[in-house]
Amino acid sequence: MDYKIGIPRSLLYHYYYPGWKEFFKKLGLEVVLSKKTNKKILEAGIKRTVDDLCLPLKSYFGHICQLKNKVDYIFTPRLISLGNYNSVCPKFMGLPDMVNSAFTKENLPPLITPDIDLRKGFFPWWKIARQVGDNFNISNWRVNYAFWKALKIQKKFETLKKSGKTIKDSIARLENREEVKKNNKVTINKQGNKNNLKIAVLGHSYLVNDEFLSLGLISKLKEFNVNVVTQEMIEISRLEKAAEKQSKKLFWYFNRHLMGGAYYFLEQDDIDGIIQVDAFGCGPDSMVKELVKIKGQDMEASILNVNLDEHSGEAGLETRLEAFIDLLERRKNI
Amino acid sequence: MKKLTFPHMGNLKIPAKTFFEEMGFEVICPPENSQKTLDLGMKYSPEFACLPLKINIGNFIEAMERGANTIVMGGGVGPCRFGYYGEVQKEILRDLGYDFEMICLEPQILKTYKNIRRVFGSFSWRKVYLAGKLAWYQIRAMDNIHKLVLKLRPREKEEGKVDKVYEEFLTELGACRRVESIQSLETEYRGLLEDLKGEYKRGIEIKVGIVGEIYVVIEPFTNLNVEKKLGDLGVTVKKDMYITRWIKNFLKFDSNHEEIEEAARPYLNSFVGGHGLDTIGNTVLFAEAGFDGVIQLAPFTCMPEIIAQSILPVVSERENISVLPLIFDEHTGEAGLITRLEAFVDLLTRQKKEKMQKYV
Repeated sequence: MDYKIGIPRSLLYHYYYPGWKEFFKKLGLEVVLSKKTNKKILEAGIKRTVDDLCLPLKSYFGHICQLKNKVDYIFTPRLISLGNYNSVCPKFMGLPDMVNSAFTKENLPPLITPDIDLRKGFFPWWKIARQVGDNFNISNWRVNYAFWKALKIQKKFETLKKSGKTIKDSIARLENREEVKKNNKVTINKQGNKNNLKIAVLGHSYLVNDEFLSLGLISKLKEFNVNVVTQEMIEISRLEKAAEKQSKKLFWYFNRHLMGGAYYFLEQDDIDGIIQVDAFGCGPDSMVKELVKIKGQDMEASILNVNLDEHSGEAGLETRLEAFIDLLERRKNI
Repeated sequence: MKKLTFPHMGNLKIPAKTFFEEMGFEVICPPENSQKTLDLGMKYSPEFACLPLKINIGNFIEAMERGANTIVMGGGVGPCRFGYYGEVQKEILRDLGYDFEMICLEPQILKTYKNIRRVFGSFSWRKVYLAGKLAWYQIRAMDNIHKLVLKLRPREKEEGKVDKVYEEFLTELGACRRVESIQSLETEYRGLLEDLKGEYKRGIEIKVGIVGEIYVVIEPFTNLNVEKKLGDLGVTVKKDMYITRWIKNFLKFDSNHEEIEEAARPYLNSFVGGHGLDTIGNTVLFAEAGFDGVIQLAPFTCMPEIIAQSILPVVSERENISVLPLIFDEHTGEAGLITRLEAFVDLLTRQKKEKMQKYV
């Protein structure tokens, strides 16, 4: 069998791609990844979606558009819940249906849309794997084998993330060692940053790690010689514990970790500032941001809020980052 | 002394006030939603939060300025933002320096019960039953008359008479504290309203269904009273959501819900929080029931309704029904809305007349 399955380089790619890739590879499918987000992809997405949708989702539609003529299947899982009391943004729940209606007038290859709902039964991921395998008439043994292999790779990916690597570096590392070394050499010392600032960047993985959507925020910070940490580098148990400061447990899984990350970093003495990144129209973030803002004011922390949409300009962001870093340096010197 | 308050949602204030007063609490109703409420809410709420949160904040501030110190609020476990309203509002109001207690009615019954016990101490279940029964009768009467008003507005004999009678009914209902008197009041006003029935303003009956996010559908201040505007334009309006339905839904007694899910299945195959699924399902059901058009109401950045809005064009095409999405935020202007509604209704009238000529 040499079916090609397309995975959009967007949204859940940033959380599960290494596992998914290994799984499909071991099933005997060829994995096609869409290109990195660029202007054309984003515009294709904007054309097919309603105005109020948030930026990462708009780009997701563009990635589908880019894949649709190249592959036999597209993998667009429906993420419903990541365990009890762990829901996600509703847009993940309706995503396959939104894709279907956005592309009604175009030729779209069949979508593989397993329901990811970890509230039900034992070994839910395994059941999802079997469900996906059924789509291709692949024997259970092979699915089990592929699932086992995928699990191992995914675990490696998680460990890499926790060791302080960005998602991009972790994925590159898993695929090919060379690339990382090259990337590390590229860092230029644009400005001498004597104080060795450490800034926490908090934002959804699919926004912050997308070079185009986040306007290269992380690489810009690195150019300023700032140490960047994100909530992905912190153990989940710690994030959960930090998030418990809110009397009512937040029910969005990803956002709880963001909030937990913010509270965790607020208490760390070596963190000089926090940058909160969110997309225009992101529902859960609009609430979490407010809570973090109130808490940050109480603790007199420096927090920069960056709101991104399709009209954000790189120059504006750079100025704001520069100003923020100057401010942090001055604060540190006093 | 506990002085209770709660957010406004349509005419919910009448039964809510009855319920809490029968329980023996002092109730301080926030003043009617107004531009001032909205301004207060806008000033202190997160910029991209949805409209209901902002109006609730406005309500709470206005009520607390009048002396309220206990807030009763709904809750939830997601994925709609409404579930976390209480927590965010609590933080914001605390930050503003108000001293108050907040009770969130969460789906986790035990936790809610403990919370209520903590704030109010012990209470008698018999009182809860009696007060609840009375409030429920009021809600039912209110919704029945409301449905009748929606039907009669496009065919009233005298302009504005129906609304006048409706307002009188609401004022009198608030004072009714016995089941029999509520029932007799309903029959009396039913008769009064039926007497106002005349010819359709447009000559033919145009039926429009209203779907969408519950708060905007039920609260006339947020939707700039779309239902009245439509009624004045000569359109019979049916809503997919009334307070009775919402409460049944909240308590999981809603028997119609499976039907809605079934209708939505070809288009949206999953619960998406809030009323996104209902919007799609009810649009299909309205189309099947022979309605001429559907209007979707949603607050700006409402997540479930954005999903529904993305899917509705396909529903509209396949089910052959005209759909008009209306997104409301604090800057929505009245003139623009009226123009859009007029154009939409004119379109529906023309479509219907063409259809009728075909059959003749």
